Amino acid sequence: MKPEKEVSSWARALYLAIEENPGKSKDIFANLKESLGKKEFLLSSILKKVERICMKEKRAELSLPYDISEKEKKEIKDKIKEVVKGIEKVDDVLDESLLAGFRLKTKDVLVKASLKDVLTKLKNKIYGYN
Amino acid sequence: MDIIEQFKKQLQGLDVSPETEEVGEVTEVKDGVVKISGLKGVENFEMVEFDEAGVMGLVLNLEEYEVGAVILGSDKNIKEGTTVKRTKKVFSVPVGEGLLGRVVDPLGRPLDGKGEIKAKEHLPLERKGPSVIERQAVTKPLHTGIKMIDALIPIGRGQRELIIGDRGLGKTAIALDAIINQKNEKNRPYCIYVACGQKKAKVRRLIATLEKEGAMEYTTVVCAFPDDPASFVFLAPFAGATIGEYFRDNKQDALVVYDDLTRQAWAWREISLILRRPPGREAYPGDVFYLHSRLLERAAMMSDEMGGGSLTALPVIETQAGDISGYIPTNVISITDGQIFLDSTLFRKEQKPAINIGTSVSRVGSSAQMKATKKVAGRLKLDLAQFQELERFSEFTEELDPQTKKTIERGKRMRMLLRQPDLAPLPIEKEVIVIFTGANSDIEEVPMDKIKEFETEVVRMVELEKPEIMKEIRDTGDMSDASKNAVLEVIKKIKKGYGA
Repeated sequence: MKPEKEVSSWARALYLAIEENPGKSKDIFANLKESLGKKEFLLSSILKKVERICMKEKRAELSLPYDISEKEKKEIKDKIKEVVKGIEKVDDVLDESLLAGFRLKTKDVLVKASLKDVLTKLKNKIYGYN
Repeated sequence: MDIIEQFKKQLQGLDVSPETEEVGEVTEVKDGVVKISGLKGVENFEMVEFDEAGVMGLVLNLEEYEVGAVILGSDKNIKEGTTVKRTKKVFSVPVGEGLLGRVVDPLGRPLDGKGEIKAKEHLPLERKGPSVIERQAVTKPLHTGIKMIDALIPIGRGQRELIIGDRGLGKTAIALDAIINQKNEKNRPYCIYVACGQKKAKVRRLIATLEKEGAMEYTTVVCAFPDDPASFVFLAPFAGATIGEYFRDNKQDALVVYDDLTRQAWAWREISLILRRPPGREAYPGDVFYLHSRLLERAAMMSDEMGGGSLTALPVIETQAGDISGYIPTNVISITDGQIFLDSTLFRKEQKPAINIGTSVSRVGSSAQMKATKKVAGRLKLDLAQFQELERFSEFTEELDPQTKKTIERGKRMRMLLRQPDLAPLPIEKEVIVIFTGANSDIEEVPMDKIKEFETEVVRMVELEKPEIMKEIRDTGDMSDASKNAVLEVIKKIKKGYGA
C-alpha cells in the first residue's frame, strides 16, 4: 500500500474509534502505536490527518446575505450546534447573492433556505427544466 | 389568457419550503476523474453536479470513504474542496425523431449549431439488453448495397456484424455505404453513426458525405473527439445504443455503427487506471469484455409481441498489422454474430472493398437473405473458394487442363464483378442482376478489361428493356424462372457485342 493511502486508512480508523469510544482514547493510541510497529514514523502524519478529518466532519458553514451582530450570530450558531448533531464549529460567510434567508452546509448536507434558491426554483419551473 | 394567470398555472404545485441536498467535496482531481468525500447515499451511475463549475459528473466507483466519478466536461474550474451535489438521476440522453439529422455529443447536446433538440423523451444510457423471450430469430435482411457483403456475408436486422481490419482499409467506408444504402430500402431503418475518438476533420467529411447523399435526414451522428475527456469516448457508444433502442422499442428498425470500439476500450482503460482499478491483460481492466458485451447485447430483433422492431449493430475494430488475435479483437469477435475482415494484401491488389472472404463470416447466414439473393448467390462462395485454391496452384504450373483454366478465368472475372467503389452502394435488385450475371452466364467469354463495362451494360439494359424484373425483385424479393430466362436473353445479346 502506498504511504499516503496507509496514512489515510489509519487516520480514518483512528477517528472512528475515538468517536465511538471517547473515554478510551489512551488505550486506542497505545493499540495504534503497537499495531504500527516499525512504521511508527507515520504516527505524526496520521494525527495530522485525523485533525483534518475532525475539522471537516465537525465544521459547518453558514452563508448569510448580510452582516448581522455578533450576538445574533452567536445565538444562531448555538442553535445550529443544538439541532445538528456532531457540529462543533460554525463558520459564517457573507454571500450577498442569497438576497435573503440563509444556506447551511455541513460535510454531507446543504440546507437551502435562501430567497435565491426559491427564485431559482421558480425560474426552473417556468422554463420547464427538471 | 392573462399573463399572471399563465404564471399561476405554471407555478401550480411548486414547493418553496427550504430543502436539503446531499453534498460532498472534491478531494482529488486527476485527468478527468475526481475523488469525492461525502455523498453517502449516492448510487452507482448517478449524475452529480459540481457547484460553480457548471459541469456534471458520473459516479463510477463507490468506495468505503470516497466516491470516484468521471467529469463530463472541462475540469478547469474543479479544484480540491469544490462542492458536489447529488442529482438523484441516472445518466440519460434525449431520444426520438427530433435527433434525426442532428450531430450531438454523448450527453445529447447539439454540436451542429442547428439549435435546441426537441426531444420529448429521455432514456437512461445504461440499459439491459432484451431477454431471450423478448427476442426472435434474425430473418429480415439489412442490405448494405455492397455486392460482396449482401451476397456472401449477409447481414440481418438485429444482427451484430463486426467490421475489422487495419487502419485505412475502408472500414468506415463500408459502414458509410450501409447507411447511405438505406435510402433505397423499403422499410428504411433509422441510422446512428457513433464517431468514437475519431478525428474532427474525418467526422466533418463524413457528415458532409451523408448530407450530400441525402442520408442525413434519417441519421443521427454521435461524436466524441480525441480531445474530449476520456469519459465522452467511453460513453459515446452507449449514447448511440440508447438512441437506437428508442426506435427498436417503438416497432421500428435502427442501424447503429460504433466507429470504433478499440478507442472506447482505450478510454475505459484510461479511466479504470486512474480510478485505480486492478489492471489485467494489456493493462485493460477485468471488465473490458463486459463493457463490449453489455453494449452489443442491446442489438436485437424483437419478438412480434414486443413490436417486432430491431436494432442492428455494426461495431468497428482496428487491428495492428492484420493481427486479429489481439485481446480486444478476439473479445468482440466472440461477442458478435460474424465479422467482415478487411485484408491489406487484397487492398494492395486493388480489390475494393478489400474483404477477405475466407476469414469473413456471418453466423446468421442465408436465413437473413431474400429469396432472390439466396438463389443467385448459392454457389458463389464455394466457387470463389475453389477459384482461390486453383489460382494459388496455377502459380506453380504452366500446364493446366481446359476445365481448370475456365474455372480460373471465370473466378478472375467474378472477382472483378464484385469490386465496387466507395460511396456507390447498389440497390438490391441491381445487385441480384449483377450476381446472377456472374454466376449463370459464361462470363469467361467476356474480355477481362471489358468486364466492368459489361456489368454496367447488363444492368442498364435490364433496367431499360425489362423494368418489370427489377420491380419483381424489389417487391417480392424473388426472381421467377421466366425472369431468369429473360435476363439470360439480355445477357446473351450484350455478350455478342463483346465478341463472345
